Amino acid sequence: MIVSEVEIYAPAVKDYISIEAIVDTGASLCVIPKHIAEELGIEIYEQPIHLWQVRDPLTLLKAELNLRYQSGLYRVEATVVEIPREYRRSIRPDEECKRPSSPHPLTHRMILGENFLSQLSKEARAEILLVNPA
Amino acid sequence: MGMKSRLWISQHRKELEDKYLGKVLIICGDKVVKVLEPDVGLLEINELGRRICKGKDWSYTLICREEECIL
Repeated sequence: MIVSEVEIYAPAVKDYISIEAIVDTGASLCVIPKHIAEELGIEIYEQPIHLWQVRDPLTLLKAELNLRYQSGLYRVEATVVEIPREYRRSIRPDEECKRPSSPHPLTHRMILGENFLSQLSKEARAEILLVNPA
Repeated sequence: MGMKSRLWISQHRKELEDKYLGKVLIICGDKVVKVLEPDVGLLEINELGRRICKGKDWSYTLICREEECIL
């Protein structure tokens, strides 16, 4: 898994702040957890989608993110996901083991998808992909 | 952004997992300068990182067992 970082604009403090990010070349869109978007003051909106497999429209939560990587500024659409509060901490000793013991990987992270990665220069893309070749 | 700190994190992730599982770490260069509980907010992490590292290269990371989790 490749873990890197970018800067994200936080309207709540009117500044760019660092955010750790999982780089996922298999993801079409970026992903941001709802609790992070809310903390940073990023507006969340609903987007209904229609799939032939289901009768009623599904409602996705989306957000527009302003990201900075090196000296480049990027505006990207992101899917907003909700990570339940109890998954954002380590498991307690008395808790029945029905979940991973450590906090969810998106507790303090976002996912960088191809809609961001494809905007990077060849050099910047190579750098962000090689930061953590684990 | 702290590319030097980020590189150090990536090179030492396994050792950090053994020592700090479930914590949020602030790294300044090649040193862990602050260990936080995971319920800390992202704005507070950034405020602490900027204050403790005072203009130096810094990063933060969440230490979790990645292989346990299905995204």
